[in-house]
Amino acid sequence: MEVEEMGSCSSVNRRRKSLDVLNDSYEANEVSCRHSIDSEIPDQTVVNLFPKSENFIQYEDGTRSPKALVDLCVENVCRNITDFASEIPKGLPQELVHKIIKTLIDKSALNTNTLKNLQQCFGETSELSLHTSRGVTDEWLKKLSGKDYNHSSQNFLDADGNHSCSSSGSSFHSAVSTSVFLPMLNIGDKNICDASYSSAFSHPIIAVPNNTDSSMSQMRVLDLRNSLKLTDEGLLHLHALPLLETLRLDHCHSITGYGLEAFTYSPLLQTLTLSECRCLNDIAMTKVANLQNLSTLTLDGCRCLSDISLKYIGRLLNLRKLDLSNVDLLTDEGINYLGSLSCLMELYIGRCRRITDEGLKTLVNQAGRKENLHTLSLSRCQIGDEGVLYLARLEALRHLDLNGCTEIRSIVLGETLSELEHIETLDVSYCPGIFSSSWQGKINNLKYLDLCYSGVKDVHLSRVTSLPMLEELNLDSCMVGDWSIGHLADNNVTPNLTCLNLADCDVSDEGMVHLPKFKTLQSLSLFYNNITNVGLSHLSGLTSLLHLNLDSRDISDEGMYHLRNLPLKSLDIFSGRITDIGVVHICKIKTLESLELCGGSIGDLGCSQISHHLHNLTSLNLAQNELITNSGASCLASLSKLKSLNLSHTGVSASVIRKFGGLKELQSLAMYSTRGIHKLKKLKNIQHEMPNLRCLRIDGIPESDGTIANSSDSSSDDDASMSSDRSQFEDSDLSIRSNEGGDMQLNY
Amino acid sequence: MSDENDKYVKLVSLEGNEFLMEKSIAINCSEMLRGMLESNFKESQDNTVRFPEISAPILEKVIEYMYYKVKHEKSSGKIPQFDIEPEMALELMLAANYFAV
Repeated sequence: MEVEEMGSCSSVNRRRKSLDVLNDSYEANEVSCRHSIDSEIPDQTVVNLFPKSENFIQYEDGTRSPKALVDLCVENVCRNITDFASEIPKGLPQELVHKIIKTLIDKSALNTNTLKNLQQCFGETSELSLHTSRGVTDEWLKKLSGKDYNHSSQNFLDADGNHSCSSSGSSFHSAVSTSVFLPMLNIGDKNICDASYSSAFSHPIIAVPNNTDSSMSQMRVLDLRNSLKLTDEGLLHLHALPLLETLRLDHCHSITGYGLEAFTYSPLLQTLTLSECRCLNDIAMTKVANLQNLSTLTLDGCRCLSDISLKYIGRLLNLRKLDLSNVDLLTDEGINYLGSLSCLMELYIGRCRRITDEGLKTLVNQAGRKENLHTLSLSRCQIGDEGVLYLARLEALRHLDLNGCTEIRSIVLGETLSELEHIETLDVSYCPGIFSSSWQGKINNLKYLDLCYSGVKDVHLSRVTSLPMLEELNLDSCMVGDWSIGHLADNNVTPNLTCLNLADCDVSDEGMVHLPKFKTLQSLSLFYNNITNVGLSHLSGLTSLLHLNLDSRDISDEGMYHLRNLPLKSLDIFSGRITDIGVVHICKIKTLESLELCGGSIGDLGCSQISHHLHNLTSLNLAQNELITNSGASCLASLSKLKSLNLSHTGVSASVIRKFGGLKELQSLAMYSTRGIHKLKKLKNIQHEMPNLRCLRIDGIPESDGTIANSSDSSSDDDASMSSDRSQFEDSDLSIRSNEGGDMQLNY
Repeated sequence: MSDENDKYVKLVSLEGNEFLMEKSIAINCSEMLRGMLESNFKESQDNTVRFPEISAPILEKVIEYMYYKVKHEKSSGKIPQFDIEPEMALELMLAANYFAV
């Protein structure tokens, strides 16, 4: 799902900025929006997902052999699964059941009817991942749990011994909900909450999950991420998973939490991830508190949770990893509740902006912290020099994130770092002047150092003479240039560097000369520097380079010649001067999986070249190449691995979308400013033909059109996988703005 | 034992229908048949394998597939489709799994 992963955070920022400028010049009254597509695929589409023509295995020498008969049969079963008059029978060999389910999921062919015919097959299944399936609803879970199936309902008796019925208003649920909704009205009153806690422990029903007969009794790993429509009612169907170890519910935006009661019957649950479940409330944690085996709990972005939640989390004595990033209601007071969690090894409280030095003081003095805590994220907390001194007590600390803790002084952090001899990862981006005193000798074990937007200058870097372990260095938007590259390379300061980000620094062709000396470099960002084609010639010596970002008005087709022998997986160039000729050079890089060539003069010939030579592409961005028309764009339909395609602000018209039906893997399609997109009647068919499409970015469609589901909540419910990245970008955007407004801050 | 006997193998369905197929193809395509025919089991002695759980149409289809596979193995052009009736897909899948073809 990592559709946009390739572009580094900063490059996307820039791209967004440039797009904003362009957007302004386009029709200003058009509302651009992204549509999240969350409707399940219709039955008739399932047939097309298993084309009969794919009956062979291709070998590297170009020859083909027929697929195994068992695979042909499995695909035949899948192709016709929605037609099956009867369900797939119980008792098939497990390996065949696995094959059928895997094939259906890989091709995103699950819908309500598929599940209906499959529901007897999940009895022995130990792992199920639905996070790539579109349109997961409560009804799906009802089918999965076999609730529609007569035999299983008798396993569940309510307090009076009556059989619970399978309708959504089952006695199981109603008994639970009465104990849940009361305290909602008294959310501020902790005593009332306590009352609900104890009643949650004394289960109001006698549930007898019969391990052998339950439809999903062998399930160990269940992945329901990105199920935007899933609600607590649906979760309540999952109350008979006695072996469940891992449950992923991230980005299930409709869940509030009372449905987590179901997992009280999953005593082995170790990992529970709920990040970006935005509606999750404190009641949810009263349910989670029962899961005594839990070692990993992720609540990133559950912004409705308060300190009360921490009180319940404090009962999970086996917790090793706790992610509370962006839970911004948390205060220093809440940190007290974590005192019982002495095994905690990883704690993330980044962007909990109310947490101060006081909370940190509480934390570092808790039992077990000194020995066990190895990862701590405090980004954007109100941490100052006082807090940094407390950190020195955390002797086991290996990974520390202080991103945006602007009050910290370099010299104080340096002192703390000299005590923390195990530190490998340090993020001090957006901490102005943080690198101004010499840390030489204090960070010898550091592997990762993020200094972006921290105002590092050449003179600061001159004070480090040896970072023997350093693998990643981010100097994005720092005032360093050719001298620093020369210093790091010539004096062998960073002999193991694999990743170097010099975006928006002051690098010219003279600095480029030094780059080949970083023999192990795999990733290089040179966005917004003063590099010309001449400078690019030095890159040909970087024989390990996998990722390259370039952005300079002085780079043109000629420069592309120097890149043709690099083993690149991703290439991002935003120059405005690349034409079809440059594309011919780029097409020599057969290893490319991600390619961004925005804002140039690439035309139909370039598209055709790309489609012929770069078969490994999963992500392609050709936005703002206005010469591209439908004839070029339709060639791209042969890039069958594409997950992400951006043709915004090109010369294509909406009818080209019809050609893209073969892009079965496509998850994200951007076509901003495309002619005739409103008139396109077939928009609904497109989402049916592309079973993986989750996100369509086009100019606003009138609501009454109704072709796309969920168009109203485009701001929050964008394709779930991307939204966390996005919030990161937005935050950085803010910082850019504040920096632009006050550059003085950086001139430390 | 004549050469003729050695060249062919007889597969018998649940109804008792007998199918003759080339032994080399059977050994080549099906790990299960190879195991039986190259061992010292009774089956390898008299070149006959009985399948009391597999019906004639399914057994015939499996044999048809083995010939199809040998014919198109490592071909450079397009491979014609091997037709499977949806009605028999489940049963054939079970048989294919059993034969390991």
